[in-house]
Amino acid sequence: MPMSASFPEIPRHISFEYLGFNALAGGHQLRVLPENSRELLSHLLRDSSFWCDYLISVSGEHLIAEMEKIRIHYHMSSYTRGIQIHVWTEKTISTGERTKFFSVSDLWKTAAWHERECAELFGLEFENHPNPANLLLPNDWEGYPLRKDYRQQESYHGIKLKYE
Amino acid sequence: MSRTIQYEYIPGNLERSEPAARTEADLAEGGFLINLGPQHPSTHGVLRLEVVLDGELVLDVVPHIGYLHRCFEKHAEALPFNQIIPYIDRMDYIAAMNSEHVYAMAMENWLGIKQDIHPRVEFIRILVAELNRLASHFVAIGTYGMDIGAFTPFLWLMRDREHILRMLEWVSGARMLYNYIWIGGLFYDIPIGFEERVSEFTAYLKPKLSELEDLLLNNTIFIQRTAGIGVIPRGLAVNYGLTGPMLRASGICFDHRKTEGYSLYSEMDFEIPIGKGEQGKTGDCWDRTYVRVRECFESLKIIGQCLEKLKGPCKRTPEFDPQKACPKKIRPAAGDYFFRGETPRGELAFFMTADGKSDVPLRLKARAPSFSNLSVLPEISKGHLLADLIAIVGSIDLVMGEVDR
Repeated sequence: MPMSASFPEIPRHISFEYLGFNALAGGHQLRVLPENSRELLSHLLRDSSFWCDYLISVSGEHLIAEMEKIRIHYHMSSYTRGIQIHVWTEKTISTGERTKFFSVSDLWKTAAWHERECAELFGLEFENHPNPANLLLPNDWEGYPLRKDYRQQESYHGIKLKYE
Repeated sequence: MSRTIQYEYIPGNLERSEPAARTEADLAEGGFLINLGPQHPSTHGVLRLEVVLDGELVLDVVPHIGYLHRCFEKHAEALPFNQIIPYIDRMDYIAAMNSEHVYAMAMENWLGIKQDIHPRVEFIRILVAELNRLASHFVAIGTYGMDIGAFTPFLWLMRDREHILRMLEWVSGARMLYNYIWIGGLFYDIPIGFEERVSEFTAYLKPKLSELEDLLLNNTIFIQRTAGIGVIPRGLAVNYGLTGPMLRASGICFDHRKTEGYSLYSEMDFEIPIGKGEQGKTGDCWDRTYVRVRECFESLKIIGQCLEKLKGPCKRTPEFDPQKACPKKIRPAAGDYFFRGETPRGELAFFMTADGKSDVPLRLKARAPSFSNLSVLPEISKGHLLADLIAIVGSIDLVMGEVDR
């Protein structure tokens, strides 16, 4: 099914920014504020003109141009509507604690693991996540590896990690 | 001198075996907890399953992954785009050609050099990718049979896989991690006589696959072990983001090769097999194996059509240079980019960003099919017997290199 370039209407009360259609960048580009992200994502899943039932991935990104910001990308598509959407939201990194985003793992169950991976690699916290434990890294790993300013720890349980 | 080995119960052991999601306090009276893996043949790699049991009944499964985490995404941020390909190989090491193909296509789309690719290059890519898909499904079906007690199919399929690996070695010089498909072209043209040897092999393989169907799929013991086990209904499969044979076994006819028609798959004539619940319910372990076996036949069809093209309209010529369209400097325009493709395990998608000034990606996220496919395991294995859990894990067809990346 080819990607559909027309974008169905979204009710006024959901605030977001429509940035056009780009077939190379995952379809329709939507930018949303973190506090409105859950409302928009749940609309995209449940509304019959979208039915984005397949969440392809949730990926984090630490911006190199604006080092104080973390961006979360949601790529989704619909099996029935032939529509593909890329939603992204960004937030300033909070100091001292993990940066908070809303979890969507109750909407798409596949998001649970994707969010756990994001959370440990970027130092995020997904609110209302059913199981926020580390997935890929050990529980006592220091730092958030996919951040641009990440510095590897010197040693881990007596194993030397840094070789120059 | 013989020495008796004593196993003693040390109360602190459970707490020390970090990380555990369950403690002794969570267990019911008479219940117990076992760790399956990470070094267990039936977990197909370094996967640890924390299984809470009541007798032989599985109450809960907690998969622990990350034993093979090799920081692929972090590492890719330090490498030029063409040097990432060997690491792509090491993600899904059973079907490296398919992953390479998806990545090469993704980069070509992004750079806008898709139309410069010679059709012969594209047909060779499809040929080697489908050969590797066969090899990958052989591992999946063979080891799955062995997991639940059928040893013969494993030996037969390893024998046939050996032919494929030798052919791919002839093409690329490596048996497993090829680095053969490059951005914009190929490492080499296929060697002289390769087409003939592949057509010889396909003629040999067809009856062997029919034999396999009789030996495994229609085997009463196999049906009893797999039919109605680990049923994934359609809605659950979509909600968990399952792709590939896992999704198609649940009755959804979706394959990127067909729906998006990328590469030159649109010129190929093949079917998408889906699970129909012939032996039990739609989406059970039997259906997943059935879909994989049928896909082998479809791959053979595609290989046959590729060979026709490679012998006919896209013949070998002295002027043909497989590296002609390879860009000398790979520096895509700034922005986000997303590409989805089909590997034997399901949908492999790449999300990449670049700033247009450097030769390395700012972020490269690989959405690996096995990762999402594994996440459904706790949901479908509750209430089954421990022996059936092995059958379910095998039917997911995991490659841990891809799950952990």
